[in-house]
Amino acid sequence: MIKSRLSKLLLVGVMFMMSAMTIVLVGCGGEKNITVISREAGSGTRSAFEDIIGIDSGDVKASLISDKTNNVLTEVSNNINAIGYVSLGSLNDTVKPLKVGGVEATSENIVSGTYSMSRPFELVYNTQNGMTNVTAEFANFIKSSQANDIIVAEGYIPVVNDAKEYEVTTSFDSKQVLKVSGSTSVEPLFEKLFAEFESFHSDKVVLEMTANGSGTGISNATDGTVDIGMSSREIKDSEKEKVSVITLAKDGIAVVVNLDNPVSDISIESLNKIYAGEIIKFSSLTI
Amino acid sequence: MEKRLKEKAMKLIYESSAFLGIAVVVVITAFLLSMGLPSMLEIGIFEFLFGTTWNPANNEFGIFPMIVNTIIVTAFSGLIGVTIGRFTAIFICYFVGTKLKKVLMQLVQLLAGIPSVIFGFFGVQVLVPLFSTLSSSGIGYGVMTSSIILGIMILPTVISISVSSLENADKLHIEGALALGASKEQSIYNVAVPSAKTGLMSAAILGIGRAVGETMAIVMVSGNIPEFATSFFQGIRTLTGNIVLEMSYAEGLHEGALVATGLVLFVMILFVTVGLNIYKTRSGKMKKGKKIVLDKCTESSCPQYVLSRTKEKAIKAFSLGCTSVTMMSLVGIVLFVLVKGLPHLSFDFVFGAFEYGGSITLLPSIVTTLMLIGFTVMMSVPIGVMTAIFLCEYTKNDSQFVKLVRMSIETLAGIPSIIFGLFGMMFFCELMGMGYSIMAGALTLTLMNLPTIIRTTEQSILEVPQSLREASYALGVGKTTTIFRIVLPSAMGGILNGIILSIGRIVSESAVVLFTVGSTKSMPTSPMSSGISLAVYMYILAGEGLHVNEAYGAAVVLLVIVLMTNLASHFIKNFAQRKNSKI
Repeated sequence: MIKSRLSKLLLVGVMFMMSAMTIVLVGCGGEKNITVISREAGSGTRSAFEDIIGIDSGDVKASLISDKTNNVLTEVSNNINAIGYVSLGSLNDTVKPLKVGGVEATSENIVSGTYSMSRPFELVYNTQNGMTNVTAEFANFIKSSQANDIIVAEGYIPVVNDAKEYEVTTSFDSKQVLKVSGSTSVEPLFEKLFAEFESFHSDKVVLEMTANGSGTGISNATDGTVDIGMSSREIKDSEKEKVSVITLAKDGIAVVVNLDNPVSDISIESLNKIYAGEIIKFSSLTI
Repeated sequence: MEKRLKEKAMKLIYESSAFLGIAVVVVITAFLLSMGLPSMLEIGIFEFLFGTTWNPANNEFGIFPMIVNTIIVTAFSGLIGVTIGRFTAIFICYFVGTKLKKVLMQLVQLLAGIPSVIFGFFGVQVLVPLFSTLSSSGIGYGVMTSSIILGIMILPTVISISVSSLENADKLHIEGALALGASKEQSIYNVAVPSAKTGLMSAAILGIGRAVGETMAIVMVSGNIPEFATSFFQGIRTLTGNIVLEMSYAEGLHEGALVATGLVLFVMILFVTVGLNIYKTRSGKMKKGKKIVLDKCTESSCPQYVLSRTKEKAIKAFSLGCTSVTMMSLVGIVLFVLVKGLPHLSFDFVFGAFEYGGSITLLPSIVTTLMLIGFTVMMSVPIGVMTAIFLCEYTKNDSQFVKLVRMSIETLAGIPSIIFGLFGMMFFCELMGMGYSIMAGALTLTLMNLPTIIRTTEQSILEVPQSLREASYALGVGKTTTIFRIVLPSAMGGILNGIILSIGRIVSESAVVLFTVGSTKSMPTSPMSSGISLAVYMYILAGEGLHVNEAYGAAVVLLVIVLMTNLASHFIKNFAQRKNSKI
């Protein structure tokens, strides 16, 4: 018997939905594999993290790639089997930071050098074009004690010792635009710093900021589309040919898992194995 | 003499704006080819298309997994969207009264207006956690979530085209079947649906075309791993996702490889549109020429026109089920956004002054969105209306030029927004040195919105009765004056409707805006400054887990704007209809 086309379509539709349901239901039970969360290839956090755990970008076997710092936090807070990494400054209480090699992820431990997972926040500008007036003024400001206070308050580590109080050296008569792009990790700190900087210049300075990843920031600064590029990883030597570097602060990278995950300590070696796809279950970590 | 000259000049203006449509398609194609092909050759066409590793850091650019994933996701979403959409259309057409039908169609239009970032957000917040508890991998991202979200997103396209083709199907067929004593279900499923086959198929193909090109929602729910999909719950990356994830920081060969990805996508879409056209012309010919040869029917292949009772009931129940799924997904998304977002709305949140590092305010994004709308409408309406005038008033016989114009507009309408974004970013922002700016965004959006404006204007100009023009000519009025004094005023309703439709599109567009306007959160100071549109801001807030509440709030504002444009379009349509019926 030939059925009409329509009933065939109907049949296919129903079968599809039923098979989808079966797949969903069969999936329950048993310990699930680790959901390895990585950042996208242009992320500074990613390159810094991969440098520290000693893995080649091409060897990473991630299960998810998040293009925003905080997508990682959301997924880890929802998924008990997930592991990810975020900037220490953007850590919140919806996830659990792991000790790395027995050392807690705190600012003190980064300053003392016992917590190994840290990276610099760098600002870069085009060497050939030099700094614009407003860029130079802002560069002065970030070396001041006021800037250091903000850096500490935001949970990062200042790099300038014995900083002096900020004094305005150039005051502006007309509106000055500071064009910035780059790392999503640096963005919140940069905004806070700029807010303070603005208060010294009574609204004569305007920030145009696009947070689109360290790679973009550096390449934008290289081709001169922005005044400052923000990077959350060290600047490569090949990149230093075109841009000059100011180190803004230091930041830790926290390895985060779900609050209900029993694991609390992890070694760099295990991290490497997890991200290389050699360890696929949390239970095999303890052995 | 002077009058003659004026007429000629006006015709030239119309022609050149029509020519612009062709030029845009040529430039976009040329751009994709010139940027994409060399990189493709450098990588090796085979390595690029069939390579299985995508690792830009090591100069490995194989997009085969992404091609396969795109096809898989499109197939599943097509299955969901076309099945549900077609049965919903049947239900809307044949099982409800005129009043309810109007309401249901209006709701379908509303579903069409919901920005893709909201769909993506809904997927991330509702479907991903749900599936991650159910799936064996513990991952909620992947083929399943993507297909469901895309399936819902293509529903409006499938439903509205299916409904209009069912409406246009020959009424006589159904009446004949009914007169022969067939039941209602029998005449619908065995007579009406087969006779509307071409239209239903076009609906399916257009829906699938949309699924191939969708970007922002997919990036949010697919998991973005450039590997083959081997299960329903595993991170996957599609072609569109690949572009939007890496374009902003790509350089050199990497950038070229991404444009080449766009080229592949473009070719895929082109296949879909060309396939649709071939199918349409072929089935058109078949209708005219061939008759069903009855004596070829054997016992087993003869169509069975009698449905059993249970089957009848089952099909009716299934149509009802599909319609409820459509409406429930609409209501579900709207309620989800409203319930979660309304408590976070406050005057300061929506209209508060912007401060660096201060609390979040939507005001700069609202201003940016308004500027985008203003500039885009200012540029696209004159060009679009002129082109429509040319197509309606100056083309008695279809010349090669007119055919070319029509084909270009059709192609332009099918190009996915991510390709417009790619083009806008590289052409306006980089090549013409505009940088991330509202102007670059408006120019790109203008190209994108031209087909909408041209189509709606053309339709309403065609509806203006010929007698009006003849009366005007008889009074000795010139063609140009007739067009501007008689035709355009009577077609105003349609033109306004086109404008409102494109405003809706601008508001909900995110891929183009992200690539050309950037994501600067401060107040825009000039058309050349970068900014952030409401939809992009919502996308970014949704990505930042810290501001999920604000993302819901932004979603509410977006929804309200979409709802308002929808209602406005509805009223203008009604108003225009009433006015026209008076004439």
